[in-house]
Amino acid sequence: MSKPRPWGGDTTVNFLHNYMLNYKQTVPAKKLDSAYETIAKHVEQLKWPKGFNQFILYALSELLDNVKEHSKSSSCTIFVSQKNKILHLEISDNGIGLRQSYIHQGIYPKDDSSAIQFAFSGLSTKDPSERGFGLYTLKKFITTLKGTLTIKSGKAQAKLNNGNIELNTFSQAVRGVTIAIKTPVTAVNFYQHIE
Amino acid sequence: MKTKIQTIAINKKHLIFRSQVRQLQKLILSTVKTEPKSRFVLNFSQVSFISRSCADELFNLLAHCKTENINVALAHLAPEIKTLLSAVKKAKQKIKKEMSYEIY
Repeated sequence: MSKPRPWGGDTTVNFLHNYMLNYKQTVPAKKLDSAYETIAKHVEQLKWPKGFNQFILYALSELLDNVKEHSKSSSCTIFVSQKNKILHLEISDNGIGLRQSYIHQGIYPKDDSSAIQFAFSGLSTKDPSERGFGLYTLKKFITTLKGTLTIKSGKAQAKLNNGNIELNTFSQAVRGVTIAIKTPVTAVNFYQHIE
Repeated sequence: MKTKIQTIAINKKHLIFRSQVRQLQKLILSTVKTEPKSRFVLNFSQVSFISRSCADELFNLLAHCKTENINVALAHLAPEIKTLLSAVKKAKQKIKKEMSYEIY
C-alpha cells in the first residue's frame, strides 16, 4: 500500500493501487478545467469494469459544466473516493443555487424543492439550444447502477434511491448546490444512457 | 477570391465545457471576418473524451455556421467520440420534435 501523497493546500490524492482513488480538492471556479484533467488522468488508468471509467468522466464533466454554466460560484469542492467497491463522488459549489439558476434562464420554480424536481425531470431551459442541466441522464445511470443521487440546494434535498425520489425540506438554507453520487463500481453500458 | 482551408487543431484531450466550444466558434467567426472564403476543418486527433454538454454545443456551432454559410468539417474523430456525437445528435432531434408540439 503506497503512502498518501499530500498535494498542496487542502488537496489529498491517494492512489492505493490500480483500482482505487481518493481525491478531494477545493478549486476556484476558473480552475475547473485543470482539476478535471487531473482527475481524468488517473481515472483513465484505473482498472474498473467496462464502461464505469467513462461513466465517472461523464458524471464529473456534466456536474462541473453545470457549476461553470449556471452556478455563478467562486469555488467548487470536488470529492471522488472509492471504498469497499463503492464509489463516492461529490461536487459542491458556493453559488446561487438551483432555483436562482433556473430563474436566470427564465424558468420559475416556486421553491427549492420544485427546482430540484425540475432538474430531475430533465426540464429544458427556454433556449432550445440547451438540453437542461444534465441531471436527468445521470438519474438514468444511477438507477441502472443501483446507486444513489442526492441533490441539496437552498432549503431542499432530494435523494434518488431505487428509482424513487425522497424529498426533504429544512428550515436553514444551504448555499449553492451539492450533488453526491454513491454507486457500486460495476460494468455499465455507457452509450445506452446518453440518448 | 480562392477558398482557403483553415485547420484548427483542438489540443485538448478532454473537451468538457460548453465555453470551450464557444471559444472555438468565436475563433471561426473572427477568422471569417478577415478571410470570408474560408472553410474550416476541426482536427479532433488529440481528443479522447467529449462531454455531452460539449457535444451539444458543438452541434449548436455547426448549425450556426451552416446558417452563416460557413463550411465546417470535423476530422480524425476517435470511435468513442463519433458514437457519443451520434447519440447526442439523436437526442437533439428528439427534443426538436417534442418542442414542435408545444402549444403557446
